[in-house]
Amino acid sequence: MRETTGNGEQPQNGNASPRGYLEAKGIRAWAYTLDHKRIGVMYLYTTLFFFLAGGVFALLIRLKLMYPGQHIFTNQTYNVLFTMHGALMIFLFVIPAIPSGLGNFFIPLQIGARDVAFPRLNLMSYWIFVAGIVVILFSLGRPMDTGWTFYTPYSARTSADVTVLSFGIFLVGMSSILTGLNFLVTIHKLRAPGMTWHRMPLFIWSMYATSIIQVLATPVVGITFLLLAMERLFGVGFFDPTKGGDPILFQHFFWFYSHPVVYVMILPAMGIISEIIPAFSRKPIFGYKAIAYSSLAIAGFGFFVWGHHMFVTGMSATAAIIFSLLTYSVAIPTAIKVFNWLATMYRGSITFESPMLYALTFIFLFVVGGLTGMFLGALGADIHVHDTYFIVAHFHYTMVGGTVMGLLAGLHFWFPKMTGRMLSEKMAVPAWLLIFIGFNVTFFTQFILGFEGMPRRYAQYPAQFQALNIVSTVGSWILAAGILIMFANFVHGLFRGALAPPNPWNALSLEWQTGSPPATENFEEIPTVTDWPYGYAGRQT
Amino acid sequence: MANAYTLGEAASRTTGEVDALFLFITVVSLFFFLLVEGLLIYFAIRYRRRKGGEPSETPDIRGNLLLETIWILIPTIVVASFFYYGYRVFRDIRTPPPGATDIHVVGRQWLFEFRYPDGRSSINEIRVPVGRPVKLILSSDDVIHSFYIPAYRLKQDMVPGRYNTLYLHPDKVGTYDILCAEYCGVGHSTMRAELIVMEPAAYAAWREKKGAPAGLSLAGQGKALVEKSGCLGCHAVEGEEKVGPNLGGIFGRKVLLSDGTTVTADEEYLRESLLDPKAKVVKGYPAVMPTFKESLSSDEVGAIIAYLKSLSGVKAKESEEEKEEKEGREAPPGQKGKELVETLGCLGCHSVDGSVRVGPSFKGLFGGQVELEGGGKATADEAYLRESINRPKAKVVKGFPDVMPEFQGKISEEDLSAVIAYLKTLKQ
Amino acid sequence: MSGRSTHHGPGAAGHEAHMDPTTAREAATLGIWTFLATEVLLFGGLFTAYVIFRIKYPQMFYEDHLELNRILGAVNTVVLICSSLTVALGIAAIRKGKVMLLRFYLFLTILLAATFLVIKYFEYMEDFSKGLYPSTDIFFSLYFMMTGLHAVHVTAGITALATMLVLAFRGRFSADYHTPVEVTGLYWHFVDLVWIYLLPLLYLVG
Repeated sequence: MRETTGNGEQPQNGNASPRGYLEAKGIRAWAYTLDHKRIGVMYLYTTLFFFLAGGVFALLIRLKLMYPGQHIFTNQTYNVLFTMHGALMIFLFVIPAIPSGLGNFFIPLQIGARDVAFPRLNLMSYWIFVAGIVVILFSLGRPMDTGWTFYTPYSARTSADVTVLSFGIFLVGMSSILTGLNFLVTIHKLRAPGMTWHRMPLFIWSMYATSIIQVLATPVVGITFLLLAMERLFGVGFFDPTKGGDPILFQHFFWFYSHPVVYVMILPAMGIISEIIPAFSRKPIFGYKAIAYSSLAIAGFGFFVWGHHMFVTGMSATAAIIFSLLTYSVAIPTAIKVFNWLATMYRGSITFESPMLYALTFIFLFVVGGLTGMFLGALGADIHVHDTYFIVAHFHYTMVGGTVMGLLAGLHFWFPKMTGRMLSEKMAVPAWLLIFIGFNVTFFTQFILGFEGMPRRYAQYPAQFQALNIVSTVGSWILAAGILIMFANFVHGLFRGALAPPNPWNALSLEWQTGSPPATENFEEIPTVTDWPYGYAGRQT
Repeated sequence: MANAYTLGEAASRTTGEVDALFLFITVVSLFFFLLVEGLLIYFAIRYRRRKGGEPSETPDIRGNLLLETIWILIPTIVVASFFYYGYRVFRDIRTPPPGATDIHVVGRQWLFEFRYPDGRSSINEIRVPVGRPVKLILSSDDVIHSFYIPAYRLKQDMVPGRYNTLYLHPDKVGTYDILCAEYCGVGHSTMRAELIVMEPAAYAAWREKKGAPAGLSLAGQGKALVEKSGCLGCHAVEGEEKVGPNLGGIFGRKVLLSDGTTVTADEEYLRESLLDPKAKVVKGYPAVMPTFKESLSSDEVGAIIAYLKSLSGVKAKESEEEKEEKEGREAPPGQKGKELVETLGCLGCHSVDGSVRVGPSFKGLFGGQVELEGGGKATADEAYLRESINRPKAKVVKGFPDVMPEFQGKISEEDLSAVIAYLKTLKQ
Repeated sequence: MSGRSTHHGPGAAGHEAHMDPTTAREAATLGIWTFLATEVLLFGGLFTAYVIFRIKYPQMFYEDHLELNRILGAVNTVVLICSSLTVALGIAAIRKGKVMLLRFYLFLTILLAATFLVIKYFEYMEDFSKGLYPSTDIFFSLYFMMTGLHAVHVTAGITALATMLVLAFRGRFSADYHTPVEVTGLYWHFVDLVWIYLLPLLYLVG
């Protein structure tokens, strides 16, 4: 039994405002805030904005792809559309949303701290992020048309403003590094008394592993983009074959970051699932240590597999074999998590509020994404489907079916805590259903298209692929409808949602021991922790 | 255009192999998919809380060593099998078939150029006889492209500054799409070629009809280049060595370098030796070989390599029919212009069959009315075509990107007229 | 760690009040070491490129490096090592509470760091006058990129040291509290260390 307030009792805010940390109003209360919760909220608003912006680009892409020939948009415009879709989604949404958004809000709360280790650095990270965005927007005078992977020599030579864009991405990366650094120190140094490593919530474990990756991998992409900018500005020739450089070197540098970063994207989402499944099954998490350590294993192994993006560049057979073998090794810790979540549900007492719906959807869709990765790790198979829609489908199943579903699960789970209001389940369920159906219609067809030979980044395509493309586009409309209804639910909830109790889900981690929303200083008294946060077994509530 | 996904007789043995690998992974993955998702759905239903019911007493199960061991071991075995099977297919794909014909493929924005051993070259179309393996030597003149034949399940990147290799086993007569599979700019999705696999008789007849190539075989061109570029000043073909190693038998030979390592003198090594001789110096020889980076084009490098291969007894099958230069062959009208259009790279953006790619099609261009960007019209007469070639930015056709390079100063008056004469022949 | 923290109003200063002094010091130390790890990876990309291209073009590296001014390189090395010494002495001083000495050593460190940059400026000017630019060849691309990125870090270091100097003049540091100075000192040692690697790789090839 922990020495904290029980469930469903008075908010810990005590005499403080029911508005909690949201009390102080005005621009300055947000722009100069040192409160990790406000910083997290600002990140969420910013990243969710780019989710919608990136989504608009996606809809435009799919619209054009209903026609095999040049239609609606010129090919050049189409190339800009898919580049912007990828770059905005990846750098300004999928990477930062859970860590900098939900992570910022909930890491201190879950470990029983008042804030992160370096609050001013935290604020600075946010404004560096915004600065990076502004610089990226400046580059749109000559909009990017390289694909989000920016392969040289094309990216070094295109008239698009890759130079300015590179500096923008560098800044966004810096924000990521500083956030990861902040979280690492926070988790090491600011845990409440009694919270040993093995009493931490699994979301914290996943954020710890994520922060290690952010801190070690992001600098490499920073130097990569810096070198690209230098090549364009000063004729530096590392990637230029006419100067004795090697364009494949760019790919090695780029993927050395960009592969680990997919684990930055997925680990926090998995952490959220590890919080939700036990709470909504009313049962302890199965295999706590396995899940905790598998996060570290994924982070570690993830640094050694980047070459699997480059099997057809002409690498030696030895290198290809090593990368293929290591790629499969990452599958094992990932599979462990899935089995542990299923085992948690076994003999549980399960309810299906929206957080649980999204959590189950995460498992369902991520398994598809992960299994299709099995094809890609196999050398003989990857050659055929590399750079086709098979890849596009694979990463959308893992990044959207995985990360985004995890984010949505987290948003629905923690909305009451962050805002003090409840979402409407009546709106949430149909939204979820449309998202689930729309997503599968959009992207499952793309596995088929890819196997049949349709390359990616194709503005025009051979006519035989049209039928499936139309199906995929219709799917995108269904998906968009679901997302719109979901956002409508968020807006409605913000203004008209029922007032939330401190612990609507009767969950056991420390954030639920505060008010909804929490007071600025999080806890009146820092709690002393005596047990892990998954003691759900046998509880009556 | 052939459909990539065809059941029935496979276009190449690689098709069958890769498809079998896919089938294996699909079946095993499907099993685990049904197992995992099935359990997910089953548990969700079976252990749901009944409506209005009290939460049941859930057991305090935190782990199970046996279960966890099993579900680590089984996936490990499964992925090991995926890895191994994938490796086997990969190894087969990468195994050089004996007696393969060497064909150089150069990608440039936005076309594929094929150069055959007999010196012939073609744009966006490669013809091979069925049953004879082919070794494609891939490179690029500008950005990274990728050579993808969906029907063969094969793909390899075309990277500027290096050679990549792809082996084809054309096992079935037919026409197969070749698609560029690495984003390379505005013309990426229209950068396509055709692989035409012909019956031996039809292939021979086609070569007859096309006539002898007006020039030397690829190896013959290489020989001429070696003679005129001064290589023989330091390298003898055979006999007493001069300043550098002899060229006879060099291809495929193991070479000991000055730093003690040993490499095989393959295409990549020879190319590097020409462009960057100081990168690898053969042990015992002075590091005095000059670079030919500025003086040799990538095509010329390819020709020299073909010649060096012939000195090692490596005969690309068709160089046996080395043809001598034909002088003063009467060319049909537009023939010179047609060859220029092919060699100058126009086909990277313009088609001759009416299809719209990066730029307007040449078919029916001459004499037609053209709508211009910024309003206004023009007639595509001789003066217009001349201006479009010399200073394309002067008039950009509405709806097309302004990316056409300038040829002023790069094309002689005589060649310009030849091109225009050719365009005239391309009526609707 | 229990007890109320300061209210998080706009622009609240001394926010580390949510940590007790020992934890704050440990956190800062862990933070700066983590940050230095990221810097290792940032420079690591360039060092990797160096290794790859040096193996590929040993002749170019040997011939080109002769163009560099080894005297200035050596002088700069001495300058930086001295600056590491002065900042270490400054930290030793403030650990004993000697604020005046800290200010003196900080000032000296900044002076030496600025000297480094001035010498680097003259070196670059000399290179340019010889027609050697980042675009000249791969070796010079590496040389300018690596020393350039290093110079950016020296500049950032000067900014940090100057900030410490200002704060020292405002009486912020004592024997009990001087964590920012320690952190800055550690960063400065790292900057020095990077140069010590750059020197032989660029100036002393073969």
